[in-house]
Amino acid sequence: MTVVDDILAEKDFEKIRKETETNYREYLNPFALRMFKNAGLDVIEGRREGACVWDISGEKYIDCVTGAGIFNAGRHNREITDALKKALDVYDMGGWISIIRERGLLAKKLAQITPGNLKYSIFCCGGGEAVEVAIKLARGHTGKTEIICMENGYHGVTGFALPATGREVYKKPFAPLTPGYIHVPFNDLDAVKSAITKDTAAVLLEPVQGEGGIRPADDSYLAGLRKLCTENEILLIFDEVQTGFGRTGKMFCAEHSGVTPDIMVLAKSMSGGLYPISCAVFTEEISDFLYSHPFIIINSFGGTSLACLTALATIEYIEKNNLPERAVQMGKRFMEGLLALKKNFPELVVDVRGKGLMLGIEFPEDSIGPRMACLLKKNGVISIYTFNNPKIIRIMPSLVITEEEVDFVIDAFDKSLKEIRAQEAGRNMKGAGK
Amino acid sequence: MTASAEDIKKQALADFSKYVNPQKARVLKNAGLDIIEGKREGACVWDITGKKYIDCITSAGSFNVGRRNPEIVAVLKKALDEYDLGVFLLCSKQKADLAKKLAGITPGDLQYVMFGVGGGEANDFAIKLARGFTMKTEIISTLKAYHGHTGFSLAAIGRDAYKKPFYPMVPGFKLVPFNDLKAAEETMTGDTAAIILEPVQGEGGIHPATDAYLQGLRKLCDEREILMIFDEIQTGFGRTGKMFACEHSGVVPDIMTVAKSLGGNLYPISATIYREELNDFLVAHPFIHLSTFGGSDLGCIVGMAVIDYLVKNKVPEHAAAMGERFQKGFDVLLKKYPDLLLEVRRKGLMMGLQYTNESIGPRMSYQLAQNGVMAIYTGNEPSVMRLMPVLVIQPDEVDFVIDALEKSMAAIMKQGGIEKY
Repeated sequence: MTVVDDILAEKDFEKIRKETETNYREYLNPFALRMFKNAGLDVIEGRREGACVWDISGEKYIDCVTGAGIFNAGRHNREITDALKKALDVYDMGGWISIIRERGLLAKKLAQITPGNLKYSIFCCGGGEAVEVAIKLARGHTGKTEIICMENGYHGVTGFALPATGREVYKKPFAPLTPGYIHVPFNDLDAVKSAITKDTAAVLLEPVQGEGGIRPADDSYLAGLRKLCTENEILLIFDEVQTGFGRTGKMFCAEHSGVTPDIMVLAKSMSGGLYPISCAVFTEEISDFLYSHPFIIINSFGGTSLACLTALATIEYIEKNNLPERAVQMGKRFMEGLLALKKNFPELVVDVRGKGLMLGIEFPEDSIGPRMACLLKKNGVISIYTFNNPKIIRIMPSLVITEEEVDFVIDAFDKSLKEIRAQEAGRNMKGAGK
Repeated sequence: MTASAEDIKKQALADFSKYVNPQKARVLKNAGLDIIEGKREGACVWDITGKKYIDCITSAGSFNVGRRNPEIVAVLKKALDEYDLGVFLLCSKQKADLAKKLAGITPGDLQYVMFGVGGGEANDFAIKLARGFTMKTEIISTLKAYHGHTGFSLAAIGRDAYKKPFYPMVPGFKLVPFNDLKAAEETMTGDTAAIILEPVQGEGGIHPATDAYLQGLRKLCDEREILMIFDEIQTGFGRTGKMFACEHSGVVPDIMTVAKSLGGNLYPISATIYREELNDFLVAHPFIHLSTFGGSDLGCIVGMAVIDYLVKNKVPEHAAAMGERFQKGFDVLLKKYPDLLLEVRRKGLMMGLQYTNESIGPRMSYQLAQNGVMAIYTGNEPSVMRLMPVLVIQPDEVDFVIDALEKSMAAIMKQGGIEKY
């Protein structure tokens, strides 16, 4: 009996739930559990497939959270799972110092599919870690220190990434942080222009701000940034952790504007939601820095043999099934539904926006986000508000979502908004009664 | 067949140079380590051309349960029939189970767990937790220490070469000599949040902390309300002959970080484990530290399987016994090659050969590779060769490594060019 057999042998779902909740209270985080409940996220995941996840009790949901975009190829994608299983017949992680053939193959593949002259890769495990590498490369290569980043941006929580995150609550208890980060408003070229100094090493941003509330950058803004950076010998870094691998309707979001950054950061969906891997991809020019410092950025778990094989299988799956195009089609269908909701619930839906299947729906006040998430769960959809902006619900389903499933989600939104409308009416009547 | 393996190797080296790092490939070639790993089993790895090596690098202690351990592989494959990573924002049974298990096997009252993917991330969180909980800012770390490359960990590293090109670092870090209680005491101020250290410095050159040092630090930290963080990333999970290195001294830290072998050499996972009292900070800020890939369903299942394997097979005890066997061989080498080998420092199977000068490290790597052993000098101290084989290494394999060391040292003595120590 292995540990998995033990886990699978238990069929009493109430017992599992109780035991899990106890363990969260005793060994993880008691308050997080309460938050899960209040936010409609108290699902314990059992079966996963395509766009769906089943609670251990058998309740089915369409997953619109997907770990903020790790399941572009679908939940528990069987083809990629089989590839990883096959890899396990031969490989383990591999030694970090060894020359890993699979790492070379994946780096080559990334050089081919990323835009422009992006060519070299450094692999890590998580998105934040890859952002750290990008910032370190920028400082190391330019010999300058300042990083211009965006208000409401999100880049991770480790030491070089955290100061770039544009929200105080994540940072304040841990101050003083790494110095040299300057925040400017998003989509405001003049703000960047005036923040640039002789000591500016890089401009870092997400082509669509995710946690900041699903805010796409304008093409002209990105083109302007590119020009500004080139003129001032400043590196342009795109954090495509959430937008990469087909999410916005192109393989990489940068392609919409035709702007190629000097460094691109990738993670999340890179390995099909099955194995941690992330990377920073950069130009040949920047690799000069690593030529003189070959072992300055090392990582035991980054770009293991298994991770690279899983990533290669994932990219193959995304290309073979043309998932970026699917994101365009399904995104369009979603957007039509969302616009209808905006029309039908003008007092509740302030805005709908997004790119491909990276969508956001904005409510007039913060409290509606969590209330909607709870109602959506009741109506069969798991969703969450964006971290830096709770009045926006993020919709980021798997790119393999079907038309019926899109319609189901829109219908769930419709039902949930009706309930909110009824609640608000009840509240107003009570208010009027007083 | 051999010809095609050669071709694959050639292509792999070319791809690595062209898309990953040309200089890295060159350095590895010069150290005889331009190995493309094929088959892996137990203590051994085979180059794709078929040459067999005993792996004494093991990614600095990531493979305690052995290369491609079949039992753990079977568990992960089975888990893959049911699970994916899972959504980090949801409640996960697997995460809860592993947290409970870690609380059970770690010493003293270490109880709550925050999961990450890599070791650096776990240390970053430990330092953040110390600042957040104590509301103080200064972190004391030790010279030659290694804690990882993410921002907070990097600031705590005791080697400038890793940090300098990326200045400015996170402020508030102070470095003190290792194993020097007085230096630590003199550095502590009213604003000191924590001291972070490895119970055995790994990259620093395999330097075990003395029991008296750790006990003295514990006392000082208690008196001054300073948190004690043990980085057990290299020393954890049986490496030093106990499940965790701190058990040797009986000192329990307030925060412990683990990574590496928790993932069984198959799946990245790390954890920061801390005392209940510290959780007050996370209760007030439940979502202040997030990790998409940290503590995934698959990673937690692997972690549980690894711990079960270590306990069931008494792997820490085996490590202690194999360490003794190595020591007998080292004692002979110390007598026979005093011009090369100055000292051996060891705790269990965490072993460091102190050569008489820096040039010997790379030369020994090259010779050992010719003699069927993969080994490398430590990151912060090139005159020290680290030997960290898998803990399931067998007696005849220990003897093979000792024999390879003997042959390699004889070859270097014959070549000459050793600066007299």
